[in-house]
Amino acid sequence: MSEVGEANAVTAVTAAEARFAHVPGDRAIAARLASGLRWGLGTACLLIGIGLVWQTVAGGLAAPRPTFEKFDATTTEYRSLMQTLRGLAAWRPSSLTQLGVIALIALPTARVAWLLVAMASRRERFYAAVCAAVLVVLVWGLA
Amino acid sequence: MSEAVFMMVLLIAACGAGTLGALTGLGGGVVIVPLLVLAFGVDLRYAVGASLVAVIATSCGSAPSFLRSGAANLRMGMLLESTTVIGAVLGAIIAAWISTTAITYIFVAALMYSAIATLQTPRPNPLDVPPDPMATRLQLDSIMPGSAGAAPLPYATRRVSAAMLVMALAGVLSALVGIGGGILKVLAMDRLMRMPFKASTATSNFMLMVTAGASAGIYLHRGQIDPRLAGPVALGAAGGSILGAMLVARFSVRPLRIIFAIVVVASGLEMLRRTIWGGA
Repeated sequence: MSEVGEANAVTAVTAAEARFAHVPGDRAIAARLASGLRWGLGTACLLIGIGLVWQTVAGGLAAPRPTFEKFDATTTEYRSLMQTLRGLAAWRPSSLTQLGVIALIALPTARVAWLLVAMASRRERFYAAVCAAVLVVLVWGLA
Repeated sequence: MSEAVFMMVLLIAACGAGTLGALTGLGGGVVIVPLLVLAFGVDLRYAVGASLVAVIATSCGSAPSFLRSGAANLRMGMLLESTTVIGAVLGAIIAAWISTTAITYIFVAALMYSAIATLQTPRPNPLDVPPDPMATRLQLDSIMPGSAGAAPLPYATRRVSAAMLVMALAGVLSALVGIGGGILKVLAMDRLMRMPFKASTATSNFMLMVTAGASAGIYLHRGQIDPRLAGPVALGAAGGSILGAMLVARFSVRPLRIIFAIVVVASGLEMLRRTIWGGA
């Protein structure tokens, strides 16, 4: 191979390496994120599970099933975290289940917030900005 | 049926839906809504709310293995989420203004499309795709990890803007009918962006929780997420997705996809029949 050809080959390899240079760093972030998601899902499922058992014990095995045949727009007891916490303070078992459900709904928001911090700490300004924009929309939906 | 039996049956049924969804790679949303409406007589608005929570649970349950294996493209997921969340919020707002009959028609159309897409065999994408300048600038090209002795597979992506638009549509659909919109996401990444199929499904799975999360908060405030329904459904779907991810290597996926498509089409036709002619 001529010197020029060799130089071109080296440039091509360097360009290809540069194209994928971000991959190892992204994999490290993904591995930490995977652990976080497992913990978050586990916590939410534990709250839901305990809530469901509590509901069954408190209501008894013969308690009639709730009907969901018609949407009732007037019920207000499960519509926010504050209402759920008030229900929990009043010792209502279904409020613990709802707390688990809310934890589950909030998990994607926590995931985006975590990625925002991870990207900002690596000075990835574009992706930090993208995560911030997504976070604003998610928080708006939750608020 | 007592409340305890109702919750137990719901939990088992959602577990089955989550397992089937994970085995076929399509999530449980397209099964859970018809299951709740047809088998348990649940109002569509409650069913959509519970299904969105189940989609978050299944996505959180299966995403960790995709993230650890390196199949999910993190940057692609972050970028495409920016339009899918906007679509999801729009969809949740639209859902408050249109009738449940209209939502049923949209849902049935989504079911039919899911059934067709399920039966299509993924074609291998060419590896010599010229890099898209936008994808290169945003560092969207990545490497699929090698498996079973195969070498790692570097891949380039393209048509980023078009895929972002499809993602917005997936967000609207997800929020309207309570499914993850995974079919459209895979379509955008596999067919438009020419990503490897496994990378498309893994990245789609990683994104589903955010798409569903964007509209689930709005449904919660509307009172469409009741813990006595969403709790057992989410718990069952999460367990099912983990079970499905463990079983996926032991099953031949093709026959399962055919069964899945038949179930989905039959459910869609029954929902259509009840909407047009009424009755149980």
